[in-house]
Amino acid sequence: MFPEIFKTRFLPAKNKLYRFAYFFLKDQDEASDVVQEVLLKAWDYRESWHKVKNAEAWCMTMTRNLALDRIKAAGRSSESLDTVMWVSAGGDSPFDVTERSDSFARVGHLMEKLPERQAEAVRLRDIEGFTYEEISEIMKIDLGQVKINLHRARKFLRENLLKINEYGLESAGKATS
Amino acid sequence: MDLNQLERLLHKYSDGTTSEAEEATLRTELSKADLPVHLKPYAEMFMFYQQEREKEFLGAGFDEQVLKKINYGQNPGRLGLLWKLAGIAAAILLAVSLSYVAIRKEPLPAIADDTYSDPQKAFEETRKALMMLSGKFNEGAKHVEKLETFSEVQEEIIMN
Repeated sequence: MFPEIFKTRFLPAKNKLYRFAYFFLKDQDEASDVVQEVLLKAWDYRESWHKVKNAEAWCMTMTRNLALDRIKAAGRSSESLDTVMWVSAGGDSPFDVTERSDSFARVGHLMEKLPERQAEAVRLRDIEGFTYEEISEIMKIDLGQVKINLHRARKFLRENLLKINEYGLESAGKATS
Repeated sequence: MDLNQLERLLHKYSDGTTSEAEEATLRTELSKADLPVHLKPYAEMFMFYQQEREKEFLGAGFDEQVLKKINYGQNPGRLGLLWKLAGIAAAILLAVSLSYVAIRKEPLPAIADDTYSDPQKAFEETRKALMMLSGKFNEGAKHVEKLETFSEVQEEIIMN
């Protein structure tokens, strides 16, 4: 029974957990290790699964804690960011690929300028699709703070993308927290 | 959806108050080609999110690795670990007891006379021995209950 539940409720979240771990760690191997650790911890607590309302959100919280622990242990900042990787989808024209790649790089670059909390909120809501309540639980902040972080991040992204698109300029500074 | 409606929805989105259904509507509307220039940033943002969502780094090999670990007892869970520890403790206790008996080299006092020839007597002696074992087992169970309470409290702390 437990292995089946594990395969259907926990294992399918692996890429979501990986993306979240990578957001903090910026290292593929470390992110993969964290996901494995989270899944094995989840398995260890199998007798208590009935108490877990949302397996994905629970695993995301563990991923966040473990990733931040690693960053703390290594004495580095989670805000040092690498470039975002992008793999183009097949079947597009070279123009489409270039256009999309440029656009992707622009948004990715601006996302890196967001304060970590804002980037985290956007990632959890707009990329991973969690509810505001789940985000509040994962990030350990109240609902109002979740919405403020989302509002500020979206405003920063929109305003800067508009500037880039209209004038080819990008504001030099970071977003305000 | 007309432009005014779309702008109203985007305003709500910017405020961080849109529902999941409204965001799904935005995804559809913003993927259309004929968007006014001032709304293009939103389309770029939504496209970025979509592509990020589709990135899959961990494949079947990762699943196999994790499943192997949980299937082959390398990760036995709390109760499994408890049983393993209990087994080790019992083995040590048995070894220590046997060594003690061997070192003493004294004949142990007979608990009962030989009962092989009298089935009724044998039954009585077996019953007594089982009663004594049951009493000891209950004592042990009380300790296990304490352990379980401790384990539940620990679990609550970890879950929070």
